[in-house]
Amino acid sequence: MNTDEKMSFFMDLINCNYDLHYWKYDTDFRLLETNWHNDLFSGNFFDYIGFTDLIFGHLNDGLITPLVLEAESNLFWLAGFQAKNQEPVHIYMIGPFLSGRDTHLLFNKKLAAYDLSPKLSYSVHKLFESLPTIPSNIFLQYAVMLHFCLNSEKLTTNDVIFRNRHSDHPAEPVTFGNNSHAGIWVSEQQFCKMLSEGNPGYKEALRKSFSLSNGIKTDTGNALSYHKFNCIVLLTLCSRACISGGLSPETGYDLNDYYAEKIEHCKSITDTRILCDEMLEDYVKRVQEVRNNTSVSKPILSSCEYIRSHLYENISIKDLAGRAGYTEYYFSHKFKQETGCSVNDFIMDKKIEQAKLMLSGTCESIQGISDKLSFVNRSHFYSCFKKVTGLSPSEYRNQRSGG
Amino acid sequence: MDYVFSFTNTIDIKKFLEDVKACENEVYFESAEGDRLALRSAFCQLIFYFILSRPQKMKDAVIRCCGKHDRMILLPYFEAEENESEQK
Repeated sequence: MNTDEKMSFFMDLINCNYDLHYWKYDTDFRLLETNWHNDLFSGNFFDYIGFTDLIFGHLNDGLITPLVLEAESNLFWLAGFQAKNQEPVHIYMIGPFLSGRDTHLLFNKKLAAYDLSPKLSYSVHKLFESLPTIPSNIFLQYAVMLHFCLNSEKLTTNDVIFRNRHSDHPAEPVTFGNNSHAGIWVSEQQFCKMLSEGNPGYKEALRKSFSLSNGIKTDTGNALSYHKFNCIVLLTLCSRACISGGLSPETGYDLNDYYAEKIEHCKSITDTRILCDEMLEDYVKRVQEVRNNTSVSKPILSSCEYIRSHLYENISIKDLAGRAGYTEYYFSHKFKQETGCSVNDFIMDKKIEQAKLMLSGTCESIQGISDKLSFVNRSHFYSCFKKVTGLSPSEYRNQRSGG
Repeated sequence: MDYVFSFTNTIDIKKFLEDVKACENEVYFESAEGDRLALRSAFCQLIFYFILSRPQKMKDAVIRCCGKHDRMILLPYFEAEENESEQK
């Protein structure tokens, strides 16, 4: 299939769910093709609302990753770039759509606040009512697919950049999800764990977490307030995780206050997303600095990281010592000296932590958890778990589920 | 003091709206049908674009601003009509 055929097929697939349209432009932003037939959003509209400047700014930065462009009132378009030899040749816009479950309500409230003739008010209202509302996790996936159609290159939703004309910040990734709580606790704990370790992999953990949940399920009155609310929750989780990871409580709480105020001043959903990125990066960098200054040597720190990221495997002291470049005896001695616990205790402690998460946050069977965490058998898992927690795995699960 | 200019969509709309932001007071677009848009509001700008796509709505539409400072900013866009429409 050539690119036009791919795009046509892609639009057909999208239109199975949402009534979206496309605009195809050359790199001078001359319209080549569209299936949009309304007067509004035609002509110079994209230029008026600043989208052309945002697109050219993006291309001038040498980027061809997809954009999510936000106009006023949670009105969005996706922009994708077809490139040859890294040079853009065509620009595609897909939209218009709304995002945020209360967007129509918010829009109508605003509409009522201004002096519009009934005729105009009705036309505008009718048009916006006809626009689809798409959850952000879905339109981000569309952005990734759009890029694949245009360039046969696989991206993740983290590569998609949000922009609006009010924002002078660089860029940011996003994601969101469905209405279920399943798996959220585990992914949230993984995310917090990574923050507390200063692990840059937290972005991927956050992406997974967002793919499971839309955030809080509270009607805050409008979409921006809802996003601000979620940012505050994220900030709270982040600050506490980083404090547990070694950041001084004083710094953690000061930063918390600082970012809470900045969140309050955000004027658009894009602003909140950009700020969250900055906030998480700031916290994680500070944790990294603190951890780099500890008395634990790099080979031992690296072994700890290895253990944390290979909990599903059978980890031996021999392997760890080999990775650190030490003999088994010296490695075990040094590990205990620097961390205060033996290698085996450390491995067991981390495996039991993970088991607790899986018991309370998933429906995985106890046998399955035991197998996944590479315990010799269920009985071994049972005795190790009881030794550390004082409860059997099933007692722990029942207790956590309130049963 | 209010100043009223007959609106014409032959002006550079993008630049005009950027200059509206620099005004000290609100600047209104008023159509003959009774629509009144506060052009410094991003929401109203969106509605304004909607109106721009309907030329019949432009007929007899005016821009209303307040104060000499704002008048000086907007004057270059509507110079030809200003004398006829100015109200004191």
